[in-house]
Amino acid sequence: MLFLLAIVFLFSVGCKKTPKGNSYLPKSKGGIVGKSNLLANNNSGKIETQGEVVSSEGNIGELSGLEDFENLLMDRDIFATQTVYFGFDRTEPKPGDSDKVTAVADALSNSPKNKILVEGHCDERGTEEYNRALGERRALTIRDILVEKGISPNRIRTMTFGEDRPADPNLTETAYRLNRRSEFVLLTPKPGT
Amino acid sequence: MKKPLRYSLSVLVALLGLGKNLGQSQKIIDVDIFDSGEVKAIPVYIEGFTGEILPLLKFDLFVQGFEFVDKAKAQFIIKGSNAGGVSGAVYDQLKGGFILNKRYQGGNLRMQGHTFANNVVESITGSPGIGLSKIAFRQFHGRNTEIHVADFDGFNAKQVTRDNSISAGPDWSPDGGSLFYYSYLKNNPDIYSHNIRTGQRRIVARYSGSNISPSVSPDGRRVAMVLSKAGSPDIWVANVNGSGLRRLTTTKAAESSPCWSPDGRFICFVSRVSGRSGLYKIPANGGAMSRIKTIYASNATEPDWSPDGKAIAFTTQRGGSFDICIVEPSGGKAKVVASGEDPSWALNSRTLIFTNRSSGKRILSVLDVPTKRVKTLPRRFQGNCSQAAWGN
Repeated sequence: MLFLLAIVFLFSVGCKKTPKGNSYLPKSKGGIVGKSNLLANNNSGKIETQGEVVSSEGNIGELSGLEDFENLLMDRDIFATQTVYFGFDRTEPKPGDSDKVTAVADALSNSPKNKILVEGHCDERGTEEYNRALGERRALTIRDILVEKGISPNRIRTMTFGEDRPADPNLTETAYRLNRRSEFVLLTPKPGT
Repeated sequence: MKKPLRYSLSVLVALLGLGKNLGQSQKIIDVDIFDSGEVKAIPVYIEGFTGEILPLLKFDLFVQGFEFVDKAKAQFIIKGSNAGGVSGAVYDQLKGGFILNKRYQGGNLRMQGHTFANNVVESITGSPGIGLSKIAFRQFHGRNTEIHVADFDGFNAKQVTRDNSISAGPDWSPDGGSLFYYSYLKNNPDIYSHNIRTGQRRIVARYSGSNISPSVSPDGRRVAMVLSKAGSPDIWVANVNGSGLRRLTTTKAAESSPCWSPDGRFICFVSRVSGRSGLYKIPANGGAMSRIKTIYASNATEPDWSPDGKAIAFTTQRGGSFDICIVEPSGGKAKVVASGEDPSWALNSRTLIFTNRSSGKRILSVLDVPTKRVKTLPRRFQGNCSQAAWGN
């Protein structure tokens, strides 16, 4: 259920995306982040061919920084106008979009307790696994720029969605342009923590 | 042994029409899938079967290099019945004798039909049939995707994950007992192994960034995958329980889609290190990566190494359209074999399953590479499907 809400939310944000330059008043609409769980964990029901997840004996989590991003509030709106766009099959942001990364870096510099999730997305004119890796490479490129601007890498998390979460599901050049993007999600500590 | 079937036939007519196929029966036919000439399908005539078994046999045989022709033009006659269980025989019209005559019990009717199809393929070509093999694939449920498995013709489909999340990139363990895939279940793309008998899942890789595209080694002991924990999507290898993790590529560019050579010595993958995507290979125990040239095919992605080691199938992209190509593992001229993407070899190293999205939907199709003939799965799934992985 929570996940359905999250989807509706993601989708509505995607559709509302305004062209750059339009001002968009940030309003706080943070979703609560569960333990290691940004959207939903729906593994509790009875499922015929699926049981519980157990951790392996391997070195899982040892090098992972994921635990540093648990129990945070997500705000997708505050940087909605800072979404960065990419050319077809490119991993560097469009030249005019570097100011947006600077704006995000400045905001993070001014609030050292906050962290950032950088999402990487692709248009659907690529093969699926290739796009998954391309989306990660885009998010990591933005991460590198944030680090260059003085933001600690420990405050930045990246996540690729490949072509699975288009901002515009149409199969047009306009839609493709909107879908090749990196979105910023502000992560803030829960009050009282 | 009684002879239930009798044919009056003209061997002379058969010889005139089918001289090219003379001598194909009862020995292994070494089909060269890179042969620039046309590989002819083996002409057969089928009779006596009804209901769901007739289309089952026709699909199984079609995708393994057979075509259905008039009785007089057939090299082999396949005759049988599915009343009260499948029974069938194969008559060689050239040599004038039966090369197969069997009755099947147990299992269910479809399993009996697939087993007969396997025996037909084996008796005529000497190659093992693929009729009883399974596929795993990704099925779209609205904005989410789940892992499903099915018989290779799409029947007996079963949903494996119900995470209401993005699950993708399935691959089989060689024994068919486990699936490896990645899922956003815990709000990060993490790699899981999933015992399909018990349903138990284990996390194989859950690090910061991407943990995607698992590929199980031919001996079932290791998994190659794409992790970005070191700051860029690289190829990594670990034991199947996640231990013994080792980084293989160290490029700044994105790597994707690892697969194993059948001897387990090399991993083939995609890199953008040259600025455009291309195929590379690297020793599975570490070493230098080297390019696998795919002449005439640009933007190569999604390689899959054939089980006999003779070919790598992959996707080439021009604009928004995709083609399936094959290339020799040493590199060279690539050959387009079908329109589509994300090929996965069957164990016979001649049949591929792949995704076709030219219709706007993502549909799974099967291709017989030597004869370049394509069929969509006879049992269609609800919603889009992609990323089919052929099990053993």
